[in-house]
Amino acid sequence: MPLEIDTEKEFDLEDLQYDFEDSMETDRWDDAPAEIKELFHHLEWNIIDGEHTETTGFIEEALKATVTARTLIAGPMATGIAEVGRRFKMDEYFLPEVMMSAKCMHEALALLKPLIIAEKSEEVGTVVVGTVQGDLHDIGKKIVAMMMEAAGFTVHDLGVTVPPEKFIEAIREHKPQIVGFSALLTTTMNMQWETLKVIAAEGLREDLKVFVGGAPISQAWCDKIGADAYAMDALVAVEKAKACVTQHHNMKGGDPALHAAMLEIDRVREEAKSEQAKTEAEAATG
Amino acid sequence: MAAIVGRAIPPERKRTLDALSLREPDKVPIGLWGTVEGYQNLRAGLGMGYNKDFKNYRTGSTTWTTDVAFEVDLAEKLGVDFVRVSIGPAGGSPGFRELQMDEIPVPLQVPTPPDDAEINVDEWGVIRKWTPHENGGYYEMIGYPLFEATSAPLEEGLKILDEYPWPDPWDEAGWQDSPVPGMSLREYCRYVKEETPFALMGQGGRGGLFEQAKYMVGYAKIFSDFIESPEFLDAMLIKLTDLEIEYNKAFLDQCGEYVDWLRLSPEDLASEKTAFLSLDMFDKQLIPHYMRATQEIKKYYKTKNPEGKIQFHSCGAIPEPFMRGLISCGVDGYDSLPPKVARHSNPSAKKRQLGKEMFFYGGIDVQETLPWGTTDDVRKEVRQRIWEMGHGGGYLLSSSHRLEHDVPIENTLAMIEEAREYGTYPLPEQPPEGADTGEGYEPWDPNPRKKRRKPKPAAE
Repeated sequence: MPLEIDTEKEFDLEDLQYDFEDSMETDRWDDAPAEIKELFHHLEWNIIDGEHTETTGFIEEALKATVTARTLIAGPMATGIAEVGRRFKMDEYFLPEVMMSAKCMHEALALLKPLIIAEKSEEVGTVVVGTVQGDLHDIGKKIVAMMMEAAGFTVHDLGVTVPPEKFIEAIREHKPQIVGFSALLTTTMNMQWETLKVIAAEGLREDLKVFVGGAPISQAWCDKIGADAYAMDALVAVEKAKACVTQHHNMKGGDPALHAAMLEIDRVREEAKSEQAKTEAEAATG
Repeated sequence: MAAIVGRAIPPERKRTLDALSLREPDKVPIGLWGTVEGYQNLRAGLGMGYNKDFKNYRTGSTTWTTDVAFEVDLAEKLGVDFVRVSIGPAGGSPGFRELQMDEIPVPLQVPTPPDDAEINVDEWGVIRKWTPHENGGYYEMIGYPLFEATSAPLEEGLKILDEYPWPDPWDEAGWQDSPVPGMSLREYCRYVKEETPFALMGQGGRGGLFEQAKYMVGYAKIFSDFIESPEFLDAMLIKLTDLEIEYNKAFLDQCGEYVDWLRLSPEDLASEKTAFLSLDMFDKQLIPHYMRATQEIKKYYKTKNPEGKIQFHSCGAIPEPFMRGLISCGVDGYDSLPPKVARHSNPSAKKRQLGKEMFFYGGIDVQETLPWGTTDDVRKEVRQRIWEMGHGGGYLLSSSHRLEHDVPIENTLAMIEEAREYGTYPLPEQPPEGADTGEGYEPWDPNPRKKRRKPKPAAE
C-alpha cells in the first residue's frame, strides 16, 4: 500500500458558509479612501464574475490612483479569487466559471509583474519556485512568486509541471536560499516528496530551506515529507521566507529547530488573529 | 464449443439480459475490461498465452485508449457472463499514425518534446505523445487541433470547423478484424451470439460529444468556451453528434443484431466531487446534443435489435438531476459507477434514486480496493455493492474502470468468486458490513445559495 495521506484537508466550514455578499456592506477596505474602496470592490467582483476583458482596465485605474501592485494582489485580487474558490467548493461555481476568473487573474498578474519587480525595495535573498511535475496549476504559485518578488526576493519561477532535474539545475545555477514546491492535486502532491528526495540525493538539501504549498498540502504533510515550511497562503509564505533568510539564515535545511521556528510564526499569527477576533467580539457586544 | 443455436438461451446471457431489463436474474452478471497491461497480466497469471506486443492489440474505440475487451477464451476461463466488442482495430485505428516533429500541424500546449519522442496524431487530429512507463505506456495529449479556432472570430471559426478533415465513420478498416484472429467484426459478433453463452456489449463510437470536444480544443479551453464561445461550441457539438450517430450506424450495420446492448462513446461529465458544469449549462448546452445522439442511435438500433439497450459512461460523481436529464434522452443504463466519489452520487445513492429507471454497470473500486486491498477487502466490497445495487435486478458487476497492471490476479479472482457466491438471488435482506444503507444521506443541492447560512453579525 503506498502512502497513507490525508487528502481531505480540513477547512473551516463557517468560513465557507460566510455569505460574501454581506461583506460588501462592511468596511473591508477600511483605511482606503472612498473612491479606492469602490475600485477595489469593482476589481474583486470583476474577478468573481470572470469578466476578464475588463480586468486590466480596473488595474490600470487603480495604478493611476497610486495603489501599489502589491496592495492589489494581496487585497482585492486575493479576496476575489478566494471567493471563487469558496463558491467552487460549495458547488455554486463549476469549472467554466472558475476558468473565467482564472483568466482575470492571469491578465492582472501579467500587467502587475513588471511593477512588482520595480516596487522591490531591497535585496533579501533568492528563491526558486515551481509547480511539481505532472501538475499544471499556475495561479497560486504565481501569486507566491510575485509576493516574494515584491518583498525583495529574486524569484526564479520555473513554471508548471517541473521535473526534479529542472529544480536541481536551477538550484545549482541560482544558488537560492529557498526552494518552493507547489502542488494542487492529491495525485501530484507526492511529487513534492519525490523532488525533495532527489534534492537530498544530490547533496543539496542542507543548503536549502524547502517550502511546500497548495490546496491539498497541510502542515502534517510538510512534517511527513521533511520540508521546512508549509505556507497556507502567499502572505505566510513571504513572512516565513523572510524569517528564513534574516533570522534563521544560519540554520541548515531539514533542521528540526528551523522547522519549529516556522511553526512559531503560525502560532504567533493565530494568536494575533484570535486576539483580534476577541477585541471585535467585545466591541460588538459592548 | 458446441453450437447452441436453437437451444434455450444460455444462463450467462439470460442473467445479463434480465439485469439489463431490470428483472432479478438468477445471479448478478459479471464482466470485465482492462488496459492492455492489465489484460496481459491476467492472462499470464492464468497461464494463458498472450500477445506481448503492447501496440498490437485491438482496443476500445480508438488506438489511444489502450483498453481491451476480454476475449471469449478468457471469459470462459474466468467464468464471467458478458464480453465487449468495439471498433478499434489492432495495429492502429484508421488515421492514427506517427508524426515527425517537423510535421506537427498545431502549436503544442506543452514544452517541446525531445527529438526522440514518439509523436502520433489520432484520427481526429489530436497530437499525442507516446509516454512509456514501467509496465507499458499511454498516449498523452500534447496538441489540440481546434485550440485556436475557438478564439477566432465566429465566422472564421465556423469555417475552420466546416473545412476540418473529420474522420470517416464508414471507413471499413474499423471492421476488418476482431479479438479472434481471422474473423471480421461481424463474424466475431455472430460467433459470440451463436456459439458462445456470453452476452455481448458493443461500442460503435470513436470519440463522443463533450469528450471529443475536450480533446479538440484542450481541457484548459473547453470550459471557458461554454461561457466565451458558446456558438462555436454548439456548432462543434453538432458536428461531433453527427459523427457519433454515423459511427454507431456503421457499427450497427455490421453487428447490431448480435449486440445485446450498446455503449455510447464515453463522456466524462464529473469530477469525484461534483459535475464539471452547472446543471443549467448542462441542460442548455449539452442535453440537446445528447438527446439527438441517443434518440437517433436508439431508433436505428431498434431496427436491428428491438430489445437493445443504451448505456452511457461517465466517471466521477454525477448528481441525480444530471442523470435524470440523460434518462430523458433515452439512456437505459450507466457505467462505470465509481464507488469512492462524493456520497451524493455514490452507487447506493444512484440505485435509490434511479434504480427503477436504469441499470448500472461497474462499481468495484479500481482506485484502492482492487489494486491495493487484500482479497478480503475485495470480497467485502463485492458484498456491499451487490447488496446496494442488486435488489430488483439492474446491476452488472464489473471493475469501476479498466483493470490495470497493478491489480493482483488473486483480487480479480476473489471479486468474481465472491460475486458468484454472494450474488445469487434472492439477495439477503440484511445489509453486509459496511454497506451504504442510505442513512443520513443528503442529496446534492442544485441551489446552494438559496440556503442562507450565517446570520449577519448584529450591527453595533
